Amino acid sequence: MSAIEVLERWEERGYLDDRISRREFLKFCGRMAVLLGLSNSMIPQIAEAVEQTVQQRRPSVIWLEFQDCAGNTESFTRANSPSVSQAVLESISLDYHETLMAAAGHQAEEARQRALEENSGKLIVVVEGSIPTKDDGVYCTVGGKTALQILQEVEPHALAFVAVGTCAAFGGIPMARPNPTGAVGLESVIRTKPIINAPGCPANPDVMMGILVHYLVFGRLPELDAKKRPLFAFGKRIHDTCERRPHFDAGQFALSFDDFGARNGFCLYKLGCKGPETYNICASWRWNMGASWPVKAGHPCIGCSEPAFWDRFTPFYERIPLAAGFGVEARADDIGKVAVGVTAAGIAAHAIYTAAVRKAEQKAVELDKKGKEESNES
Amino acid sequence: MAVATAEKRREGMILVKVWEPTVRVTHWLLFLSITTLCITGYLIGNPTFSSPQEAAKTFTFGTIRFLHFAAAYVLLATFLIRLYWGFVGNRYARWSTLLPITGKRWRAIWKEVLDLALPKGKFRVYTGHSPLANVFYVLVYLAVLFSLVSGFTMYGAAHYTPFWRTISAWGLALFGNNLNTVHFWHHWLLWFFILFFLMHLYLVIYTIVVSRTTEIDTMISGYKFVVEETLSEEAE
Ligand code: HEM
Ligand code: HEM
Ligand code: SF4
Repeated sequence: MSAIEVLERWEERGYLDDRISRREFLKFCGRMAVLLGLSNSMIPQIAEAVEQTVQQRRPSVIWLEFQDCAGNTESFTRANSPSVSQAVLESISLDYHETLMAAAGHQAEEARQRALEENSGKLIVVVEGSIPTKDDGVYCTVGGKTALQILQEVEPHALAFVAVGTCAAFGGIPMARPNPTGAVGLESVIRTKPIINAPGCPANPDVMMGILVHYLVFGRLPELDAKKRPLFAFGKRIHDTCERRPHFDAGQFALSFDDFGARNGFCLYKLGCKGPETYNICASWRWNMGASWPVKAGHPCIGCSEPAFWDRFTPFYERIPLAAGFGVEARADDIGKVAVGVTAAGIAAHAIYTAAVRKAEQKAVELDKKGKEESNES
Repeated sequence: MAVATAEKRREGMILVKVWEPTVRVTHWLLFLSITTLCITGYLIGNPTFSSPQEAAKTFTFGTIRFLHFAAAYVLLATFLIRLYWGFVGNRYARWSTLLPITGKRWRAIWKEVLDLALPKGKFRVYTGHSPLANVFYVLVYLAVLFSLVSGFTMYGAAHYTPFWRTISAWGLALFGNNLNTVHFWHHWLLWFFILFFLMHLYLVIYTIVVSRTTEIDTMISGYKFVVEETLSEEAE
């Protein structure tokens, strides 16, 4: 079946109204094919899968928010081709989402309970935000239940978990030192069900959509890397897809914000860019309908999608972390230079000292000899 | 510079063969590769601005990184050869001699530290490395191993083949799964080797001056002047 046929059927059934034009729908399917690394010939299948989703109101998705800022929800609702995404969002039966759902209070909790029971075993659980574990997890409770309790309740019913955002995936900012709430990522809590991580602060909306579309088309989750991130989005470092890379290889760097280099789009390495250490899709896929991304806008990457970025990628404007000790923080190179100075001074002192000692010994030997010669003479 | 083999004795010392060709060649390869790695590594950490001309026409930083990686492969080969030689080489090259694994060796190390701090009387020349030197060379080889592990973890992260993916995934697991942490620790190697280099050079020259044996020539020719009693003592 061609995509056009799907479109025609959609038109017949009245799915395609002013909100979703044919063009936009096809563009959405095409984008998804590109994102997932599929060939053009897969576009009809994508269209079909999206259609079925809309028709059958499947799969059932619940979205749980814990220690978060709702940034991923914000991001998701601003997906590229927003109207199509919105349609998908509305059609997948998003049975529970604290920020988006109309229901509140007991009604909302009932909706979750119903979703769990009706879709047991087929439920996709999206988690946003980290999970506090200290003091029995009292630092995050929703409807009187802690995040831990909610997850324990949901786990048996889930088909798979999707951790959106760095907090849910790796603990993120709540887990930053000194981690007062004992926050952890989803992986430390969920043991029996597959997890897919879509880190980022926030996660790229297309990546979330891509995971969903992949599942709709193939009926399984996409291929993951060692950190359970989908390879289609996290397969490469930012640095290897960055448009400033030729300047890196040439050795052309911006040395401060707004200098000659910064104005000419030179590489931001010396301003602390973490692109070389960060896996994400920002450089090739960009944000806001492909309009821009931080490095394009002139700011170094801060590595927001990497584990422990708040602790290990700071200071954001230094390339590597400072060395801490004795209550002060210093650059490795400054410490190194001092150590070399001290060592050189130590060597010089030892050389002079040794020379002096040896000279004294020699003198003693000579004096000794002289003394003996004199006594021999007399 | 090499020792005139005609000269077999010198002031009560006898010329003996100490370093096999493998040890000598790996030493100088170590010197060359590590010097290259330190210079290029410093520049990778603190790059200087090249020139504002078209990026397509310049590859300065790319070249520096290429040299770093080329030297890294040389270091890898050198390390593997020397590692192997530590099991099959002569007694002066063996790990079983170098590692401070007995109390006797630790006492000898302490005595040598004292001798260095309070230089007096006769300087003792060891046929192989001195006890203190042994410790430092073991540390050097550990640092080399560390540079290889951390270096190839970063290197693998930029090469998207299954092989390099596996290598860097293993390496990353050692560093809390954070590539920036790898950069941070890798960076310290620079200063370790600079400090070692300073002390190494000083102690080599010191030994030549105070003992009148050969040292640098020894690392080239393999022969060294040793006091005869020392030889018989060590043989026990
Ligand atoms: C970064 C540079 C260098 C490194 C990492 C280095 C490392 C080493 C190591 C590991 C050994 C022990 C050899 C073994 O058993 O495998 C050694 C021995 C030696 N090296 Fe170097 N070396 C460096 C530079 C130099 C230089 C520039 C010289 C000469 C001026 C030199 C002279 C010697 C000598 C004479 C020995 C034998 C000393 C002894 O028996 O204790 N090295 N070096
Ligand atoms: C004596 C040994 C070595 C020294 C002193 C050394 C030094 C350095 C230094 C100072 C940096 C800069 C780190 C930073 O600030 O981010 C660096 C980067 C690096 N080194 Fe080494 N290194 C050594 C061995 C190796 C080895 C054996 C490898 C193996 C491939 C290696 C691969 C790398 C890589 C991949 C980078 C990052 C380059 C980049 O980001 O473009 N290094 N090295
Ligand atoms: S700006 Fe950042 S990501 Fe881009 S080439 Fe430079 S260091 Fe790499």
